[in-house]
Amino acid sequence: MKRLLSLMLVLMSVLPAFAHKHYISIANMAYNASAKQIEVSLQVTAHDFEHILENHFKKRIEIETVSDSSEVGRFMIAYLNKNIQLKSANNSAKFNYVGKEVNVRDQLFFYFTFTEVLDPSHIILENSILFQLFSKQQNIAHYKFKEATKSITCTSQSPVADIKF
Amino acid sequence: MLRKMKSIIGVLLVVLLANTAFGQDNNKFKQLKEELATPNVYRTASGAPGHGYYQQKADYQIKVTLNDDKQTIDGEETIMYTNNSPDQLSYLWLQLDQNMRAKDSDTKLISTGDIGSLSYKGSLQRYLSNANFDGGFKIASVTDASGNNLAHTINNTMMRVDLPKVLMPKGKTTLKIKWSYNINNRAEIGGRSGLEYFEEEDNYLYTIAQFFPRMCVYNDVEGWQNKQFLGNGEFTLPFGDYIVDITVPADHIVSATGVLTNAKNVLTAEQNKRLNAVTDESPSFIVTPEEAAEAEKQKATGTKTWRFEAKNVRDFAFASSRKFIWDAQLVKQETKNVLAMSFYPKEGNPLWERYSTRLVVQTLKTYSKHTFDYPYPVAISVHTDRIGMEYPMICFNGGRPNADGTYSERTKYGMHSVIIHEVGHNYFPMIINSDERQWTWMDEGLNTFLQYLTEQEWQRDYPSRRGPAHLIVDYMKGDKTNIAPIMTNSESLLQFGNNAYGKPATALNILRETIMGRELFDFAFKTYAQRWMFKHPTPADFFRTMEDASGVDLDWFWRGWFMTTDHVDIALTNVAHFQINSMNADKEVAFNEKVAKETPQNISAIRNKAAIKETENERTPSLNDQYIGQDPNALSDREKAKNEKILASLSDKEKALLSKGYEFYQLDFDNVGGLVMPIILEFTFEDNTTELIRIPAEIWRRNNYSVSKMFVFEKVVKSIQLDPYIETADVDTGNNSWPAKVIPSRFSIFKEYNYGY
Repeated sequence: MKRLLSLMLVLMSVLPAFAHKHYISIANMAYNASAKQIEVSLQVTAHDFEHILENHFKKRIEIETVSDSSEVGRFMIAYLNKNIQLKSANNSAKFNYVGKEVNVRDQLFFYFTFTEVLDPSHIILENSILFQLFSKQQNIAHYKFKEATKSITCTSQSPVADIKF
Repeated sequence: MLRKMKSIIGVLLVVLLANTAFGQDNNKFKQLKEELATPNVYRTASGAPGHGYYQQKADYQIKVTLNDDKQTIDGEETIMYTNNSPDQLSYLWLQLDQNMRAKDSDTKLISTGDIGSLSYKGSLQRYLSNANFDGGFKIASVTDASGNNLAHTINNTMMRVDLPKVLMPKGKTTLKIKWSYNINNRAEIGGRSGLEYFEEEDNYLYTIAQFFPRMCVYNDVEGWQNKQFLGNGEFTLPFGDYIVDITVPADHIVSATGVLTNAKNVLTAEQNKRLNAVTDESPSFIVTPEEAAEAEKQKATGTKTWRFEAKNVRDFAFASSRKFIWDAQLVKQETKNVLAMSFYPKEGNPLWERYSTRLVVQTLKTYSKHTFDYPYPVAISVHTDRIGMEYPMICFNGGRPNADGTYSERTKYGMHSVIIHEVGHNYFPMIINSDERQWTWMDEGLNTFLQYLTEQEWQRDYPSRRGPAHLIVDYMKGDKTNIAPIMTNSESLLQFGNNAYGKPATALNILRETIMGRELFDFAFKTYAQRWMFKHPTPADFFRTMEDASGVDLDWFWRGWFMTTDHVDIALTNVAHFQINSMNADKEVAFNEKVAKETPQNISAIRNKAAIKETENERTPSLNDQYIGQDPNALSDREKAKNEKILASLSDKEKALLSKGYEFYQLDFDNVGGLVMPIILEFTFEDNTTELIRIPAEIWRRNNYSVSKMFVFEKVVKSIQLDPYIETADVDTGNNSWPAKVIPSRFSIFKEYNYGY
C-alpha cells in the first residue's frame, strides 16, 4: 500500500491553469485587544469558491444567492471552520463566523473572528482553503499585532505557518 | 511643533538631500546594461528591429475532418517553410501541443500534490478522468513533398524532422504530415480547446485549437524555440498564410481564423444575403436563434467542407456546432473594414446576443487607438462554458447565464471582461508576436492594461479588476517567499494571475498616470506596437522603446517593478515647521510668546500654579535681582547684536524677503517597501486651500531609503497627505498623513455597516 501511495503522489494531476489564473486568497487579520479576539477578513476568488460548493452539491451555485442559514450556507461555514484553524499555546482557538460579501470584481470576502486565543503574540495558522481543487492555490495572511504586521503564505506543500512577535 | 531658524536665508533655500555614502552597485537607479542583451544588427539599442532583423515564414494548407460521432480530429497538412535566417538548418522543430494530454506527458509527471487532496469529493473522479483519457497526437506519417518518409523524433510536445538536405538561407522546404487525436471534454479534464457536451439534447460544441503540428519559431534570440509545452507558458509561432478546409456534419456552423471563402456552398441563400448586408450600426443575425433551435433538434448525416483563408497569422483555430447562433457588425477603420462577429449557443442568451459583438467592436476601437488599425478582416468571439482563450481573429469565451436566463452582475462583468481581454489578445501576442512560452507578462500584462482602458471606455466607472494602482497592493505587500519577479519564465511563475496580468498592467498604468504622463506614455507605447507589429519582440525591445520614444529614463522602474518583488511603502516620518528670523525685535518677541503658549507644560507646573498660593520669592520681592521678572520671550542683547550684524550684510532684496512671512517645512521620508517612486504630496492650508506637488522618483537617486525636502509656503499648513490619489500602490496608507490618521480595517467597516456597533 505504501508503494502504491507514493506512485500516486508522483502522478497526481492538476487542473489546467488557464481557467483559473488566480489561485490566491488573502487574509487580513488583526488582534483586537479590547475584545480579546483576532478579527479576520478573508478574500478569495468568488468563482473558485463556488467550485467547492458546486463539487459538493453537484449543481451550479451562485454565491450571491447563498444565505448563511441555508444548507449550502451551513456547509460553507463548516468548510471555513474546518480549513482555517488557529492555535495558540497548544490550544485551538474558537472560530466565529460573522458574515460574507461578494462584489462584481469576483472578490468574495468572509468575515470571522477567533476567540480563546491564549497568546495572541504567537499563533499557528493552518489555512487549506481551496487546496482540494487547486494545487497551486496560495493562502496569504497578514497578521497585525499591536503596531507590527507579519505575513505568511500557506501552500498545499506547507499549509501550516507559525507567526511569532 | 514650530521652530525658528536662526540661520540666514541663503542657507535655507538649499534643498536638503541626505547624502550618505552609497554603494553604486546596489543603487536602484543603476542602468540596465548588464541585465539586457547587448544590442546588435537584429535588435537595436533604441528598441527597434535592426537592419539585420529577420523572421521565418510557415505557410499551411490543411484539410481537417471533425468526427462528431467519435469526437475525434483527422488531419493532413502541407507546410511550406521559408528560411529567412542567415543560418543553415539541418532539422526543423514542430510543436505537438496535444501531447500535453498524452498518458505519459511530462505535464502529468511533474505536477505535484499530496494524497490528501484526492480524498476530497470530486477530485478522485477528475484525477481518474485525466489519467484515463487517451489524448495526444497520433502521427500517421511525416513526408516530403513527393511523399518520401522523413526521419523524425518526437520528444514529448515537440517533434524534430531531420532534413535530407540542409536548408540554406533563403531556401524553402515542404513537409506533409497526417495525424489524428481524440478531443478532450473540457468539463472533465479541462483544456484550452476541446468540447462542451449538452446532455439534454445530446449535442456537442467544439472549440478546436492547437489541432495540427505547428512550426516552432526559429530566431536570433532562442535559435529553435526549444521549451516544452508544460501547460502554463502558451505559444509563439512564426507568421504565415493558411488555407484550411474543415469538414464537419452538414448541419454545423463553423467559425474560424480568416475569411470564409466558400460561403455560397455552406450557407443558405438567405444567410448569404444577410452576411452581405451587415452594417456598422448594430449587430445583425447571419444565423438566427430560430434556425439554430431547428438545427439542434436532429442530426444531419452528410458533411460539408468549409474553406477559410488567412494571411499573415501565427496560428489557426476554429469552432463548430449545430447549436450556433451567429451575428455580426461592421467596424469601419481608416485603413480597412472589419467584421466583428459572435457565435454562441442559446444557453448564452440573453447576455450574448445583447453584448458580445458590441464588446468586440469596442475592443477594436480602443486597442487600435493605442496601437494600429486592426489589420485582419474578422474578429470573432465564440461562447462556450468557463473559459477564456485566444487565437488569431478568434477566441473562446465563458460567461453563461443561469438556465432560467437570469444572471448576476458578477457574471455579466465577468463575461464582458473576458471578451475584451481575449479579443484584445489579437494585438498582443497574435500581431505583436512576443514569446509567451518565455514571458507571459509580455502579452498578458500589456493586454490586461489595454483591457482596463477599454473597460473604462465601454462604461463609466466600469468595475475593472486590474489596472488601478490600489488594486495590486494586497498582492505586493507582505511575505515575499511565495511571489516572484515579473521577469520570471512562464512555467516558474508563482501566483500567475497577479504576477503576469495584474502587476504588469498596474505598472503600465502607473507609468501612464504618474511617472511619464499620458501623452509621453501613449506615444511610446504606440511606437512599440507599431515597431513590432507582425514581428517577434523581447522584453528588452519593449523596455528600450518605451525610453527611446519618450525621453524618460525608466531603468529604475523596470529594475524595481519587473526584476524584484519589492513593494511601494513610502512613509512620511516627520514634519518640522520653520519661519525665518525676521530680524525685527517686536515680531520675534511675539513669535517666542506664541511658541511658549503652544509648548506643552508639565503636569506639576500646572498643578503647582493652583496648589502653591505664594512662593517665598513672591512673599519677599527684595530677593529679586536683574534675572527675576525678565520676560523669558524677550531677545537677549547678544541676539539683538547678532541680528543687527546680519541685517547690515543683507541686500535690499534679501531684506524684503524677511518681512514676507514665509512658512518653511522640512518633511522627512523613509522608503520602507524598497521600490523608489515619485513622492506626491497634497498640502492643505489653514484657509482650507490646497496645493499638489509631484516630485519625481529621482529624489531617491542618491539615497534610496531616506530623504528630506524643504517646502516654502506663504500660508501655514494644516495637514499633509502623501499619495492623495492612491496612484503609487503604496501598501501602507497608515504612514501617509500628517497629522496621522487611523485607517479602519475591512473587518471593522463590515461589522459597523452590518451590525452598527
